[in-house]
Amino acid sequence: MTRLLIIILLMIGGAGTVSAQSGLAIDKFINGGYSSDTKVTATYMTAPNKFLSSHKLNVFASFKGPSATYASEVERMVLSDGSSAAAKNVRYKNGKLYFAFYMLKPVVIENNRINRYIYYLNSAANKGSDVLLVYLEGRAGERDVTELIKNMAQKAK
Amino acid sequence: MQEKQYGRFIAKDMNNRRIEDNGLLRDIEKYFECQLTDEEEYRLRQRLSVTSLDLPEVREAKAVMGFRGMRMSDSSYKLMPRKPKGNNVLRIASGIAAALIIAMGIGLTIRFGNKSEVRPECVAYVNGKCVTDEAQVMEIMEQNVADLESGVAEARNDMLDEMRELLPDIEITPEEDNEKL
Repeated sequence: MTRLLIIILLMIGGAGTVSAQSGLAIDKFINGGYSSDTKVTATYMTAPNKFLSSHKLNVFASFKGPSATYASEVERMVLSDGSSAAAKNVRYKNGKLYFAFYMLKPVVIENNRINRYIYYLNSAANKGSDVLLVYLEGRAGERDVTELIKNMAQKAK
Repeated sequence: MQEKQYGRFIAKDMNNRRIEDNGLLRDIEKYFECQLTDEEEYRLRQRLSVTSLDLPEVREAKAVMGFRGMRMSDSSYKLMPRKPKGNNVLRIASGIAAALIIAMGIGLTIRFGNKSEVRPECVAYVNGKCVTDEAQVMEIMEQNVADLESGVAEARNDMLDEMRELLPDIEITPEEDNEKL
């Protein structure tokens, strides 16, 4: 009986370890968790990829959904992940989180320092209707990421 | 001379042992007749644990007193086989249950673990549908980022304004601001 209990505890611990591999609260938004919602637009790109490699990135993910449905949860997840960020730029409007940029603490994977960035925008706080979330991960520095965001936005216009 | 002495010592030892054995047997008899005090019973128990005497009375007394082993005349100590604790059926059932749990755990890990390893490299979800064409995915991503950039620009300008208020004597331009960041 003691042996059985030990095995059960090990399995529970193992399951816990498997589910926490991503390590971020925003994971379910950037991993297609709400992809079945027709009002959601989400993208997920991982290396190996030519575009990502050229910008020293491993992951580039985005999520856009109705603010009325998702803003409160996305905001909570973003604030949770950003609570231990290495750097941040947070803006509030009308008592709501309007914009947030977090540079999370880097992680080391196979001797490579991996930087992680979160962008958040709730346009509903500024007469818009959507909440936006962008996640980037890779060896790119903050300036590279800022420049990339700017260039991509200009290209879209 | 030595043999005689040796013979005398053996005879003396055998006499002493005979006296001791008789005393032991007498105490065993008293034990079964409940005539021993607690202290005498404790001493009898100690003597039984070390005696090499192998008689039916001694064996019976040891069995009653809960001795698991019998000390044989050659001083080798043989243990009675220990009865396994617990029910055999319960042990077998717990073993089967443990194997099932391990198998389930492995199955769940394969199915749900490392989900990202089976994801395509480039995918977008629009109107509930999956898009895997890289060019289309890039276009959707750029549109999302364009919507984001408005917030980024506004936040950047707000920060510049705050810095100008804090440092009125220093001329701050966006490029300088980026370097300071």
